[in-house]
Amino acid sequence: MHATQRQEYVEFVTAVTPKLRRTAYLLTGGDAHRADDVVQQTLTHLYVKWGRARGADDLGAYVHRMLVNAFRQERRSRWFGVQLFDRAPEPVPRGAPPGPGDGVADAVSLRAALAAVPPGQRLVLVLRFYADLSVEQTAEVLHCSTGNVKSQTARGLAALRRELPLGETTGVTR
Amino acid sequence: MNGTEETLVRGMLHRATADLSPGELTPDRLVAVGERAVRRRRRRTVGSAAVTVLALLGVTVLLGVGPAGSPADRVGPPTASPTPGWPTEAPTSFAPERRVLRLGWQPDGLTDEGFSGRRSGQEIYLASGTGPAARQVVVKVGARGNEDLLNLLLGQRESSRESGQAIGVPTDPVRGHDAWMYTSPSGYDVSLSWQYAPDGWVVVSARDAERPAEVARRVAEELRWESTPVTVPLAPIPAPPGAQLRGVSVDFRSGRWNGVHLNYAAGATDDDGFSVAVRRDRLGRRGTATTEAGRSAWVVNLSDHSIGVYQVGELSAACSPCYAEAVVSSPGGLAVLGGRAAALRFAASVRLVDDPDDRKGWRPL
Repeated sequence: MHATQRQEYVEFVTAVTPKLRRTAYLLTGGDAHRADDVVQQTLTHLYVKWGRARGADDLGAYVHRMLVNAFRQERRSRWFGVQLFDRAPEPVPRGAPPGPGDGVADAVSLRAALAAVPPGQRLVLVLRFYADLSVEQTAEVLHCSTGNVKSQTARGLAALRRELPLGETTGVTR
Repeated sequence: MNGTEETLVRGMLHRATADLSPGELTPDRLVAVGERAVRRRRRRTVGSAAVTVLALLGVTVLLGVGPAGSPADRVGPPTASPTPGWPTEAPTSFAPERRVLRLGWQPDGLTDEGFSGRRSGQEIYLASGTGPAARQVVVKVGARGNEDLLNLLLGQRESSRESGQAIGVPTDPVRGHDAWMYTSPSGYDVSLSWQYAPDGWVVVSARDAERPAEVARRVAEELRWESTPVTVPLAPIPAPPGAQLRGVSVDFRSGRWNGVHLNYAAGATDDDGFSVAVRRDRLGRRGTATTEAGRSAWVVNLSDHSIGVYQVGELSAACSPCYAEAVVSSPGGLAVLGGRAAALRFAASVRLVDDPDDRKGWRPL
């Protein structure tokens, strides 16, 4: 890779890595190591293809598509990912009075609620409301129709409401 | 969805990442890893061309030239003589009420523990901590031709070819059997796999910030094949006629028993049936409150799909937060149980042993 292209790549990954890590963190249900594996896989792949990728019309959507592919591939290929039998889910701390460390407990509860949303719907919620992709960009990333994105969004939100009424941790009554 | 709800969801997702620690994915590291990937790609291209030329010359067979082996390439018989105590033939299925492996060694400090078994395979799980400090050991054993394990091997191989990333590579044998080690890009996760008998695989995975490969190796070398009954902290549960036990899982958190899950099939497939579980958790996360035999209960009925969740609390004075739960997952399961009211009664019939925290008093299935 030419020095100029490498510098472009470095500037790009410097800017996007924190957000990609957090996106992967949500997708993996709060597993930082897995998230870093997925992001490293994504950005390594991007490095190999940087010569072409840098000219993409929507580089952000392109990288998110790579991230989603890396996430799905990682789920397929990981031995840890093979659940021979459903394991009981981690109990979700709920309704406890505020106290020290609530920020962490809140984050854990929120991720547990998100993890209970079916994977396809969770993916759409994270891409739309965390990665800030539009309906059209999300459809492009997931190779599906915009109608499908909208319906998955609605179902995902309904599932999220069942797990964690959206006013519960915010003090806002719906 | 209105704007307020969208704002709430966005805020929720941002808060859910609040405890993510700074990572080690610096631009310099990414460039270095990217450069290695580019070099591997070039070598592979050159290597493929060389192999093609040799094949055209008919030399490959004589020289035995070929790509490095991976588990998916070697579904032939294991290379070593049988290990004492281990079967020479992999079973075609496992009985869920018996576990076949015992750990001869495990790392210190792994306080969470679990076992799950079904006909196609069994899993032992040990873990401690969360986030960057998380440590984990998972042992999986497959029955002969276990589709999950074999598909995963093949998937791992294909995806790795596509990405150019190194996958499971040949490593030192396990008790004389050819073995392969997979290391994740971060280096924290490894998986050591081998065939204990033709078409029967064992995989030992380890997550450890320091020496995951050493942990996996020692667990693998000291693993023993011992058939022992699975015990649970429950009084015997008479299965309804037509139901067959197909799976069981038991888990512990912080050294304390946390849950038991029994899976029953009512039809030809394991998915057609129901399950019963006992959990040390708070009752009634969702659904409708009711009572059953004077005890608090919680029901979720999904009328369109003949599926539902039936929870009954006040299970035992020895475990006040425990509840029993029947989950019906198919019309066949509901029919075998005898309908929704019967499903709730079935959940209410589950009993703990006198002291569920004393494993000596646990009962075999």
